[in-house]
Amino acid sequence: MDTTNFFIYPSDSQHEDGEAIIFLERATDDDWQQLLDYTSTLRFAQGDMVIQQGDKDDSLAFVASGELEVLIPKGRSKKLERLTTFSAGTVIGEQSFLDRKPRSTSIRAISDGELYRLSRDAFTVLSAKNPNLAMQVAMDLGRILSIRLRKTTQFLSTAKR
Amino acid sequence: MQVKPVIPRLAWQILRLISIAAFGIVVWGLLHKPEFTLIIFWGILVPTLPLVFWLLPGLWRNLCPLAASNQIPRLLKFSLARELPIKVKRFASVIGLLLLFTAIPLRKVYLNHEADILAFALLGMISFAFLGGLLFKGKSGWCGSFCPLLPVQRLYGQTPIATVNNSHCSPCVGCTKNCFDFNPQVAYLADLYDDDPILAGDRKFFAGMMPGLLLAYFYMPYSADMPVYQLYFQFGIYCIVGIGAYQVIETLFKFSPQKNTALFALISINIFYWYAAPIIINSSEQIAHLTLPSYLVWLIRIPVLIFSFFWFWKTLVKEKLFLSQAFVSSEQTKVASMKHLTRHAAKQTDNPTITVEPNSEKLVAKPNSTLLDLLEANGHPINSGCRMGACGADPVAIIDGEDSLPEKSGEELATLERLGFKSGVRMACCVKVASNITINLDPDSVEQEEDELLVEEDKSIQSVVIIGNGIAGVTAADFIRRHHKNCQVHLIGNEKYPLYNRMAISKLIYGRTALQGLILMPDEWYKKREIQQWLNTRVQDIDAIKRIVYLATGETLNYDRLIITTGSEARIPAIGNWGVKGCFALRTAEDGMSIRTFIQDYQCKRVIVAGGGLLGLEAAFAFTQVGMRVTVLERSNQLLKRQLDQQSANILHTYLAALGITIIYQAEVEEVLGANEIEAVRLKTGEKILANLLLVAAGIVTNQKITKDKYLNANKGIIVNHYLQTSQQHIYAAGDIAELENSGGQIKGLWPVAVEQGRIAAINALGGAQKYIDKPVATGLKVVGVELTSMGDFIGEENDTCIVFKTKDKYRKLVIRDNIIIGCILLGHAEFSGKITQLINQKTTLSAQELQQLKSDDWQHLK
Repeated sequence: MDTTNFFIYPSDSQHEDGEAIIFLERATDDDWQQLLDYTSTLRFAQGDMVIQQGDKDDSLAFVASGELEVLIPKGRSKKLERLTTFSAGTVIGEQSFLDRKPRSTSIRAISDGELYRLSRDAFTVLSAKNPNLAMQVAMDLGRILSIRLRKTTQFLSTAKR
Repeated sequence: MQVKPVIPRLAWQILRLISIAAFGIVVWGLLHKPEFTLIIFWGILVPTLPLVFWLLPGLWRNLCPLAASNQIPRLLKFSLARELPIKVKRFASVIGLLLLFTAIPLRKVYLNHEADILAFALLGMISFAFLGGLLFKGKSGWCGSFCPLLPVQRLYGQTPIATVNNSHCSPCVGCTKNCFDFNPQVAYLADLYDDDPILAGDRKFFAGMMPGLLLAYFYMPYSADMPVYQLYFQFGIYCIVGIGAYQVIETLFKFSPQKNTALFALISINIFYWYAAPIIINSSEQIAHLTLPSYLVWLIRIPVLIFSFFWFWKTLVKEKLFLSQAFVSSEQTKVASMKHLTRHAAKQTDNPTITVEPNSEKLVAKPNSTLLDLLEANGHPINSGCRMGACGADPVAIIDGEDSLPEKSGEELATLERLGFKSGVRMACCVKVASNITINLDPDSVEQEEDELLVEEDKSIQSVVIIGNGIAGVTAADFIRRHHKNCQVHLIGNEKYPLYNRMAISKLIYGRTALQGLILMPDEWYKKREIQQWLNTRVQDIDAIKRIVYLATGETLNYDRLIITTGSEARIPAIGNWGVKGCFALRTAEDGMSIRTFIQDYQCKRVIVAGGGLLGLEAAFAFTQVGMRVTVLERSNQLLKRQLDQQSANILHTYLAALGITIIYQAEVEEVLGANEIEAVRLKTGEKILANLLLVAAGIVTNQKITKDKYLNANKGIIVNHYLQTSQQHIYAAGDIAELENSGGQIKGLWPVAVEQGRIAAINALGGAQKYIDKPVATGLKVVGVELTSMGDFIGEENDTCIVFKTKDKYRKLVIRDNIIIGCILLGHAEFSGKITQLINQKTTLSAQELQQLKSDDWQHLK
């Protein structure tokens, strides 16, 4: 298990993320440009709630800059506590994007930054205009969720021990 | 996750000086007052240490004199700060373990009673600690590696009751993996679950060995004549039994490493204080020269026992949390390289931003996207209808930067006026943002001024009745009230709901919020204007002589002026077996909601939409959004006959087909097959197509049920003059139901026309004399990804000039007559729509040069 996230020493100038799953690894520059042209840009400031738990927002988002934290409500007081943090290059929102269910966690900005949202409507248009790219996106999201599911199974068996 | 400092660093430095001094005193004492110091050292100091390790390991980590000496070279900046060689790092814990294993039996032999040897051993230790600090960076030369007390501290200190900030390492140099000083609550767990199995191996080994080591020391019989090798051998056996027990438990009970090590820590701490309690009491008695009661032993043993269970529970709970966090943090999805995102960022650094209050969310504008597009793309709850500024579904308050926005079109101006917004509010669908603005989605957040009166208030008018609460009726009611403050206004609606956005009813099929959001004005709007709404109310008859409206409920309403805005209903062509379950039209909100209900009740999979006009295609798209297989039947040989020519229709066809919509041309439904509910339809060609639902979108017919009356001249609709007055002086008509005289029975069925007519009918009913002038209206298709503006005469006649440019998925066409643009088709060219609709509306004459520019594809000035 990768535990480096618990020990992000301040002297590590380049903190290597353990085992991030790579989205669209084989996509070309053109693919990316086309995909990003379908997105919409949100600039956030430190402290902004970028995603609220329960929101009915079903977009996929690419964090271009800044650092954010994932918050989950804990205990009876439902006080928000940090679950993890992430930074530029992270892809978020795959689940709501695929199942259109409300957001399962809240995300707050730790620093100023910018992210690109691909809404479901935009994806519908992409799939009609560039079916090949849309299929790559869909298949890759499926693959990512599959990896997650496998890891969950693995995690459950670790946690059960 | 790093522990936050509470006590200033300087205070710690002073405390550490004291700690080193105390160490010195102990060594001095051992050499000069050996007996007393030995009691203090072995009887009080050493037995209390595990308690500190257990509860506040951080305190010891900060105060330990060995650590202090280890950190001196670093503090005074003469440390060589080398990296500990990897091989040594790997075996560091083994060295610490061996030191501990050597030291403890040695207590029996020498250290417990030979004060000199103990003093030299202590001096030796502190020198090694100092040497480690001199050579190696951070705390890797002793505290984080070789220190023989480190394994004990780790085992006992894995769940501190309180954490103390590590005041040594500033800055942290990252010398140690899973540093115990950095994140004490997690370090032990992180070792156990580390990808490198060596770390977990070390922890497990020591946890297993600890009870053995303790029992060997306290319990095993020993006499001074036992040879040293035998002593070590027996210690070894005890330790191996402990390690074996650990393995047994792991194998038989499948305890997780965390549970098992915590269990061994619990056992160890209890063994230790079981034996140490009497030693502490005894030593205290010796020092103070008094006799203490024997039950004091239990005052140590029992609290330790009770607390150890609490500690055990806390440790186990922590594991779950740790695993879930470790699990989540390793699960991130990333892009392979930042270059695409960076490039995309660079492309739009200069784009203006839109700040959405009250949350100050900042969206970045895209060229040629409207504010509405942008808000939708970012998941904001905004309604939309026509997307051309006519329906009034999407007003937003512009808090800042209103002056920088493009001018309002006539359409938008009319809508804003209808909604009562004079300044500070724009229709989101009409705004293309060119510089930074701040908006609020609640348009009522901007105060508006009162209206001026347009016509003299006619005191003889006491009651105005409006039949029909569609957009024409509600606009009429609004304008009656604006220009007559005192008369009664009755607004009678056949439907159950107040005015809603009819242009968006296809959303009722796939939207999750039913009618919520489609209602255009809240109840307060009617209350504030004292407009009496009659919902779900049918008009039975009108007596134009006595000026009475008879309601089907038996009530009657007298009127001085009557405005008829009963609109139109869906045209249902002759279809055999029409009316079995699953046959629908889509004209009212009720229709939309019934369709959604039916889809769910009958688990519909296939739907046929008869009609390839605007409504039919919008409905077809709506059905795809709920996962249905959609077939569109079009009577002619192209889609949107009233909006597109053949070429542009082909482009649209390609796009819709890609969305999964099947389109069949020259197809008409002959009959519906199925006894109780629809199973299939048969086309006029004889072809049979399976379907669970048939939606007919074949145009509209006016709703003349109550007005088919000898008093009113009527054709397809009620005939009105240019003042929208019917053949009866006090009766006006507006909207779909009104047919302008000499117009050849044309019913437009367009929202902006209804708005304009409602306004004019109201003003004229109150004594005004405004003329309604027919003009072209822009229409578009509200399907995601289709940007269409079609307006006026887009086909043209023989002598007209047509300018056409076509790419794979875009199309633009202008029809020009006498140097005036009279019609256009813009498919995928939202950038031109504003300017061109304006040119058509204003009938602007183009210069020869402008015409030439248009022909040579130089359309820059139309953006």
